[in-house]
Amino acid sequence: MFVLRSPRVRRTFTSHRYGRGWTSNASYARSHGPAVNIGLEITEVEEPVDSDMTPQADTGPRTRTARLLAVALVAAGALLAACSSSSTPATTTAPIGGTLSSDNAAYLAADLKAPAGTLNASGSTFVTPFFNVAFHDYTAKNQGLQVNYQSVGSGAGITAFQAGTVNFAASDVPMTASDLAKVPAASGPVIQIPDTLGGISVSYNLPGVTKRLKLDGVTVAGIFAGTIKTWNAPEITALNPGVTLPSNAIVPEVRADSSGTTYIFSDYLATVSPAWTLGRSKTIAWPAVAVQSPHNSGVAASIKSTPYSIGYVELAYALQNNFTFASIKNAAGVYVSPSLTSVAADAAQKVNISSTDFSIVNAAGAGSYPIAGYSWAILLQKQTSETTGAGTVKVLDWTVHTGGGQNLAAGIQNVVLPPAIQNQDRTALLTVTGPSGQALLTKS
Amino acid sequence: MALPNGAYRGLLATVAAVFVGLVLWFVISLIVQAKPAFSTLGFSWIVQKTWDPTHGKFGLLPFILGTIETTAIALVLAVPIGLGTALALAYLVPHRLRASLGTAVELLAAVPSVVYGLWGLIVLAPLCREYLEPFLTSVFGWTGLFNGPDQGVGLVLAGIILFVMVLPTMVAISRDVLAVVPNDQVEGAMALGATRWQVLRKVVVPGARTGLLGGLTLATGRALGETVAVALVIGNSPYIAHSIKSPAATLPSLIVNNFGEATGTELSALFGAGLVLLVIGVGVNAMARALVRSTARGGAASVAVA
Repeated sequence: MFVLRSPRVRRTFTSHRYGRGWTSNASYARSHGPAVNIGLEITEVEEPVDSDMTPQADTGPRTRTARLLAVALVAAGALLAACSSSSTPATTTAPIGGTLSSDNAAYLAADLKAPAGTLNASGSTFVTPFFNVAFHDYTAKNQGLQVNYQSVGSGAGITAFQAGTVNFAASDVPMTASDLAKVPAASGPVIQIPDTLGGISVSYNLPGVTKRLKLDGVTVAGIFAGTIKTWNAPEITALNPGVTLPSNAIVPEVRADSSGTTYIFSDYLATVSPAWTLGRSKTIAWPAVAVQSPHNSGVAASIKSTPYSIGYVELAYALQNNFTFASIKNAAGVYVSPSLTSVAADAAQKVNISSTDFSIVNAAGAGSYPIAGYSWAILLQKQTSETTGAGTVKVLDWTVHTGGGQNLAAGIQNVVLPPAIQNQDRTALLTVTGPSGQALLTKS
Repeated sequence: MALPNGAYRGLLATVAAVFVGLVLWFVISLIVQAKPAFSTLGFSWIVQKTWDPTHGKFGLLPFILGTIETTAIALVLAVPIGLGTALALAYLVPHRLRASLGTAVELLAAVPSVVYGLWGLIVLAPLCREYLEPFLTSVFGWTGLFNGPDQGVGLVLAGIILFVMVLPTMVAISRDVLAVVPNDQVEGAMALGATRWQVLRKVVVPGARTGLLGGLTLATGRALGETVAVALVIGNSPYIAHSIKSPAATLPSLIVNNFGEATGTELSALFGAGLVLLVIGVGVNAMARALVRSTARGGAASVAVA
């Protein structure tokens, strides 16, 4: 209705509306201006995606996944208790990943007696869920030492470490020689230790196919390089006899952001496929056919909503989302599904790692899942303060050991560090000293 | 308040100087941060096609095009629908419904962008892939702009999400400026025997056009700079899209996706991308000002907004 009203009444009405309109417009102009609030918006992305996930529709793989998860959890517990070999078809003699040193408990008891205070740390988003539960538990037991961990990404964590604004940093790939060159020479040597172990699933959304797909590294590389274009391509059907695969185009789902997950995945593809030309890096120049989404959660959501897609997501996300993931052919020629056990079995094959020799992809052993890697904690060998220095080494020592933080790993579907790596971490932390040269890590 | 005039002047000058200083500081620090990229790569990298940080290539052209394309799609949808809604709200909707509808519009404006992005990814993307994209292909396929598979995420969906996000801005501002067109003119036109449609078209819309342009400028600015929602639904493919259905990327989505892990030249190139975005924003503003100036000169009654 076109109603004409008296001017007086309408002016009152409009001036009121006018005022309100401007207030709200001004407020979103403030909060949504280009490029100003990048930092804020990054943190907004991850959580709601997770909480918004609904289980997948096809029940076949889901129940199997659930069962697998249960098996994995039980098996992980057994692995911890007995430090025995992996539980997957134990045809070969898989090394056990070492034995924890006998004085572990004495160190852990002393770790909890760190002086009160606050530690600042920043870096990897991948390690954040684990650090959150581990540091929370540490603070509850220690009563006084807080760790303020900023989940800003590995690159930003390294930058903060180079600038000396954090007590320690976390990165999915160890600092390179050129990264280390940017640490002031006066700061002395840098210590880098593995703090978590992650596996990467190749998850897919393939309507009508209930049998778990089997893939090998060369085929996965072909799919993500864009050379294998359809689900019924001969390379895929040859590995999956008896499975009727659709002729639909494959949609590869990859990470849009620079990520340690991408590094480990491309490290694997570069290791196993001679045809892989895209290198190993935290960012890859993916083919144009790939759909790129930010963070593990973004890739997970995109796979979920895109039929005929396939992507690589961190194992914890795949398990939490009940994704259907492929069994991957390992170095021993066995098709292994990703699980906490099979990733631990892969890592246990290489008991000596360093910041320059850290790749654990495609390890030997029939039970090894071949796509796995460590995330790293980074600290200075010569701490500038005795108090925060002691706090830093004690918190980290507690976090990376069974009996301490590693006991919480399985609860959030993270893989427990092999005992040999835990011992190696302690050896490295024992070399850290305070300003006057005294060792900071002690046992009670 | 019995302050001398001089004191008021001083106070206002100080406040204005703080503002100008902030803007200058912001722009200069952006330039300083972006400078290493320009000194290593020259200037041509801005219009090069390849973004591949691993191999030291930082071409921004796909992202500049993606930003412009998504904004264009959003505005093509938002201008007619936003203006129509605003006209309806200001002149057609019964009086007692206006308040609640107005509140609804403002509510939409207050939804955080990440929520729009999630809604787009989880709810709209499957609908887009199953229904909208096949439909668009069947109707507009002859243009050659709709080749390729229906993927859900991509330029179309990003444009639609941006449209949904800028619509409240368009509607709220348009409604307000339409409503302050002097009633005398409306009544005068009615008295001369104009139909309602003629009144809207010849009196109300021309009278409010500077304000409408102001609303359009704000909407464009929001669409250009929107970050998280776009990053979730555009597919983030760093290639020039050959189809409106293709995954693409925008300057803000490039920045937000790569900022966390970027170091060295890449970080600097991302600041460069921010600088380019700023230049595009300033360009749009300048164009809008020019338009406002030209229409204000020829316009009948105009309302000063912006």
